[in-house]
Amino acid sequence: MNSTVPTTTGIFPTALQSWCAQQDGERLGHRLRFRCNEVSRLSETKKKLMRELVALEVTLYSIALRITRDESLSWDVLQQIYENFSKLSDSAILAIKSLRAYAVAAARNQAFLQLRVAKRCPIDFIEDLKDLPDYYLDDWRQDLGAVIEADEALTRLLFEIYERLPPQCRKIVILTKILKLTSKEVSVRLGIAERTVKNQLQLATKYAKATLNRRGVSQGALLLLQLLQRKG
Amino acid sequence: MPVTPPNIEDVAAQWAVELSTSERTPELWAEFRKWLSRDPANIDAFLKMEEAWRALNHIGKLTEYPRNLGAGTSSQIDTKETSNSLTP
Repeated sequence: MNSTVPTTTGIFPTALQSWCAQQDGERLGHRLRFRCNEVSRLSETKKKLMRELVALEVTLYSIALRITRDESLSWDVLQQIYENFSKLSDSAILAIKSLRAYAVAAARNQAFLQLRVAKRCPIDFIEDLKDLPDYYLDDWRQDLGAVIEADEALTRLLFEIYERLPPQCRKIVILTKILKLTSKEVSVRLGIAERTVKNQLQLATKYAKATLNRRGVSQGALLLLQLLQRKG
Repeated sequence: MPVTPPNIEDVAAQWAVELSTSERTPELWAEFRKWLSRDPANIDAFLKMEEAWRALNHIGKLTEYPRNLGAGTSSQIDTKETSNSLTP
């Protein structure tokens, strides 16, 4: 086994991923610039949250890329988020109400920081940044899931979405989202092609997005809702 | 006959589902990054679609819906029944 950690600068950690896949037990290390023994020093709670954070990497990378327009800087953003998170105290971690909201804000802030460090801001990017949707700038933004949990009207809306899905699509959503089956398992259970399962899930996602948007459950509405909740 | 380019929303939905339901191989990552980098509008579309996909995670809460939210609901999600009826 090659014990040299491959470099990761500017790329997704393909080489590092392979290296880490060879390591026994600890799979978090491949996302971090830590060695596996450093990862093992993290508390169990922090490791669990770190795994949840890593699960958000597609979203965080996308946000960073939208702001920096640079794959290398976006990768650095991810690394910085992981490193900063690993250094948080237990009390700071307990204060995080929504890991997703924390991570989204961290990705945005780190992306702007990386731009500043790379001295690419503001002149080069000012025109681009003007076009950024609120999603990237809104400090009040909250995890949609957390809002759904807290708000009865949104739960009703989700129920409406569910009821209007075609029967087979509904079954597939339940099997995937509630019973947590993989698309392969769903395809076996229902006797349909895996591609059909994915197509139905795409249909449900597009319908959910369209309905949520139509009802104004987007940046502005979330902000308003949050303000109302704070006043309440 | 001109070929209609794929709708950006369709592709974004495809990626949101694909990245959550398939193994994230280096090839899949590379393809995704290529698509993301092609146009900032792709990133915006993906993030919104990914959020809708995540919102569907909360459909599990609806198993409690009629009991929690009371009158006027026409049906209840019965995961147990669905599960049993679908068991081979």
